[in-house]
Amino acid sequence: MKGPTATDGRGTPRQDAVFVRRPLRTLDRAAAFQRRRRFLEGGLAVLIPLALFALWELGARLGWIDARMFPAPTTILRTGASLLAEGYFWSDILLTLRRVLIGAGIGIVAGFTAGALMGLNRTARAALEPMLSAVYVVPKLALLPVFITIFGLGEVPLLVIISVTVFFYIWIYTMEAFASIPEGYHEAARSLDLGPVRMFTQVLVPAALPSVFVALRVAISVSIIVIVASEFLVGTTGVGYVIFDSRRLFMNDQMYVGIVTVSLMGVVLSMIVQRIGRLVTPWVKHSRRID
Amino acid sequence: MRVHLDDVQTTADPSSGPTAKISARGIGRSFGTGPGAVHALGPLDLDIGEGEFVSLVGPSGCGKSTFVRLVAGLLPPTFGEMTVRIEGDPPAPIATVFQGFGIFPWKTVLGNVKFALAAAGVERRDANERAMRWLARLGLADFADAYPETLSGGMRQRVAIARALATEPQILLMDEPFAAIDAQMREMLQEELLTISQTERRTVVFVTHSLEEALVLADRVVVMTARPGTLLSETRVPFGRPRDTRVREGPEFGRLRVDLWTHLRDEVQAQMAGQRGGTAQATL
Ligand SMILES: Nc1ncnc2c1ncn2[C@@H]1O[C@H](COP(=O)(O)OP(=O)(O)O)[C@@H](O)[C@H]1O
Ligand SMILES: [Mg+2]
Repeated sequence: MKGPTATDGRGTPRQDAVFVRRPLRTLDRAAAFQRRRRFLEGGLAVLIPLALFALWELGARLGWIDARMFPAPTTILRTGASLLAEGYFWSDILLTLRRVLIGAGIGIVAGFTAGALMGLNRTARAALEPMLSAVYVVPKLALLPVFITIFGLGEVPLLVIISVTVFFYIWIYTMEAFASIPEGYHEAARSLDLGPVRMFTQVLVPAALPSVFVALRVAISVSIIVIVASEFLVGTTGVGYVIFDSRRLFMNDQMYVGIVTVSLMGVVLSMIVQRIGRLVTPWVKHSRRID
Repeated sequence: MRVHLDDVQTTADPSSGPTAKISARGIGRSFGTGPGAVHALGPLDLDIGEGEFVSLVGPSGCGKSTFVRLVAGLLPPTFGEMTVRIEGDPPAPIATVFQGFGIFPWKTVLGNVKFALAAAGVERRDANERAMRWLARLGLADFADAYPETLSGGMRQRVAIARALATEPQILLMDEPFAAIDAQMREMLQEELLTISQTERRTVVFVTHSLEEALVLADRVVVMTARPGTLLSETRVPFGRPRDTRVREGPEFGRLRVDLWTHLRDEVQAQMAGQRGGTAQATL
């Protein structure tokens, strides 16, 4: 800024500007604003879905929509309660859950092992990556007939398809994570003269773990999708089967119970993975987490 | 570092000075092969005595970090020879403070220091006590359970120093440890390092790009040429020990600094010219 004697070039004195910066009148106004906004956002997040449900309920009751096709939310809740009370539905839930957990468990262990090996060893990477990358792009559901041919009908092809799905997510993220550990960590570890075990468990794994958990959350969500589709295609049990069987029998309220159940399963499993992730990677700042 | 000790025993050269802790003879390193090869360092002759504090200064890219890696045994030389004498067979004879990535973000402050001690074979109970003692000494006692990411750069670098010193190494290598730290914190850390290195004398190789820092801390300042880094000049710092950072206020300090800068300026210019040539070629 020019001094007070500055002119505008035509010789007339220029008006000087003075800016005064003062604190806000109330010191905690900003804090109050933040609080109000959080409250508003939190409220909206609950209110909007509630309003939609209310609209749906109203629409079904007043006949704006065909209640046989789109039963009211309260009807779905009632059906759900009675299904759970009967007990058959529980065994479907448990079966689906079991398939997801066992399948994912195998996929996680295999994917992590392959990813770590290929991320740390260039030869292993060169040997296996082209092949795995080619298979990676195949939609895994398309392989279901192959698995049935190999393993016959029953539990095995369902477990295999979940394992394979999870494997590929975990493998690719883990490989990437291990391969991109900054050279500085390797060097610091070597300067401490760590043995191979300490090097792996205390340096390499923790460095890769945050990315592995990102993959895990994606993998769990995708396994739910895959299991529902597979149960429909080959199963005689499981929530996926219930959904499509109900549709076939025009029991739409029961179908919606199935849909809500798998959605909840996805939400709960993904939340569990997130919690475990926070527990085992406590150093990762929450603001930087992808969740 | 045991691997390193073995190297030393097989390549020990009795002709190099008997008191030298570190003795480099025509040492050098290049990276890569063929036309893309980078001749990073040397040939360089340098003796560093037992208990001596040597500062290494030179234009960036002249091979200072490479030299540190050679001493640490993190990298083998491509030519020449380096002798590092370690008394006895201690588990962690050499400790290195790196400019970045030296400490592990997944371990707490205390965890980082204890980890180094565990790797050096210190018993768990001793390790805890020793780690806490060094953290306290560097003003980090209250942050023992904090994760490094929650600390400022200056505090993180103190963690790295505490970790290096806790193993009580015979040789301490520091590669531009204060480069990324603001001026006030930097002066504090220089002060602390002076106190620590004067209480327990150990051999220190301290890389810095600050002539002032080199003069304040070291017994001897070694200036290197632009890449490939060779010895340009050596200056014995006349200030006695124990000293503190106020030595920089005397008139002699300014004179020494100017002398060193006269040596270094041409090299920095040479390095800049090299860079310009490089970019010009790249854009052609
Ligand atoms: N691992 C490496 N691979 C290839 N080139 C390297 C490697 N390490 C260092 N260099 C090169 O060697 C030269 C010296 O590097 P460095 O020792 O880090 O210099 P300084 O620490 O003095 O800045 C630089 O040109 C750098 O690019
Ligand atoms: Mg360097």
